Amino acid sequence: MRILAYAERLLWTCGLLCVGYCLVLGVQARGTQRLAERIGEPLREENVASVERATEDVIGRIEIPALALSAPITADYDGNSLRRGVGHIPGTAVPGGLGTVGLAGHRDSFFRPLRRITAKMEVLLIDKTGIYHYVVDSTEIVSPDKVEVLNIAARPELTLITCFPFDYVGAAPERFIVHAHLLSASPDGVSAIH
Amino acid sequence: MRLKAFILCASLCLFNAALWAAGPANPAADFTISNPSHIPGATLEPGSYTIHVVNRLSDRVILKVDSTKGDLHSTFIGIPNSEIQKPASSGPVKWANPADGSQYLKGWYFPGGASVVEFVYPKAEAVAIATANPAKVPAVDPASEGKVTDNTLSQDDMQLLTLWLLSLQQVGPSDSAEAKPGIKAERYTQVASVQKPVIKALPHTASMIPVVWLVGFCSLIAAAMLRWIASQRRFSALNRRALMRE
Repeated sequence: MRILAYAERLLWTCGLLCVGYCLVLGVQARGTQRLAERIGEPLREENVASVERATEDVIGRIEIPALALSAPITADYDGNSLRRGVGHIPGTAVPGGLGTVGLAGHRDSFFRPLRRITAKMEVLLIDKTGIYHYVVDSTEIVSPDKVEVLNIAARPELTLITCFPFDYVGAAPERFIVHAHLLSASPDGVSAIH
Repeated sequence: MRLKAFILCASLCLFNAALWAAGPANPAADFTISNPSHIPGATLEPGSYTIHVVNRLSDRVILKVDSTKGDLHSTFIGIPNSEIQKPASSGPVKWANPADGSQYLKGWYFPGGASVVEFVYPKAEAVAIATANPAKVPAVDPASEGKVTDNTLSQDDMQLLTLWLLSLQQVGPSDSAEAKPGIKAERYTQVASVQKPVIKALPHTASMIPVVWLVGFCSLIAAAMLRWIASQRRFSALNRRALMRE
């Protein structure tokens, strides 16, 4: 009887801790999302310094309207950054830059909708300089050592990376890659193309 | 001993002279600007300047502009472009239309040169020039290759930067009304080189959150079940006691 009481207390504690941890991460991600949504908006003078400090590691936002995907882009792809948004791979191009932009995201959170992505879908990258439009060319499944997907191509491109299979529990053995190309090197140069 | 030292010195001098003769020609020129003009990464105010080739590579040259006052030293990339019509005399070549209301220098023709050396602008400036001029504008984007974006790029970095050509074109489906003018970017003639990977392996992007959530949810369900079992047992024990009393 006593053992059952101890077990019950232990389970309550474990359950509440786990749920609390998830809720804290959820709130953190929501906060980052709100920061990312403010990128590109005109700022009031008194808020400039505080927002700049807060958005230091949030460099922009990715949106795929057809999948209702909207996520903040963080400056790195370490564990903490990936919990708060989609991670930019340092050394790859910046949003709208001349080169290949590399973005990695969790398949079970921000990049979960990527399972439904198809060619010709529009991807928007939004940063301080404006909105850049990319169009999806293809998807592929590769092994984790195929880093050539981030190489600079003949035109500016975007490579989205997440783990595959999407429903795999634990460390998935493969990577799901989305290739897209930049429409215009100038921000807001073109409108949405479907 | 002295003879040996003399021979060594003489051979070193000869070797250096041979190297000097075989090395790349580094032409230089003095010029005067009467109106403010832009070069990659800097603005030339009216005054006197010197331009010279610092280094020659297979697909580009590294140029340096110094003001005679000594307050401006700007190093940037240029590419020999035989498609640009050579001017009658050596000197600057300007972009036909000013961009954002400013005059940009397109390149430089050195005396006796085989072609005009076209200046390579940072992306933002190249976009402005390409918007105002119907031509392909050479561009670099150091920020997109993990390099600094200010005017302190080393020569080594300049040798590795990827070159692009930007031009104003219709972007989008050509047969539809949705096509709008945009800045098309294409890679400049690629020099055969092996690209260094930016990371060793593609990122691992499976988080523990679903597992943690599942463990937490199962723990709470199990705890609730134990509570229910315990209360059922207590209830049945109380019932049994009541029956015994009766």
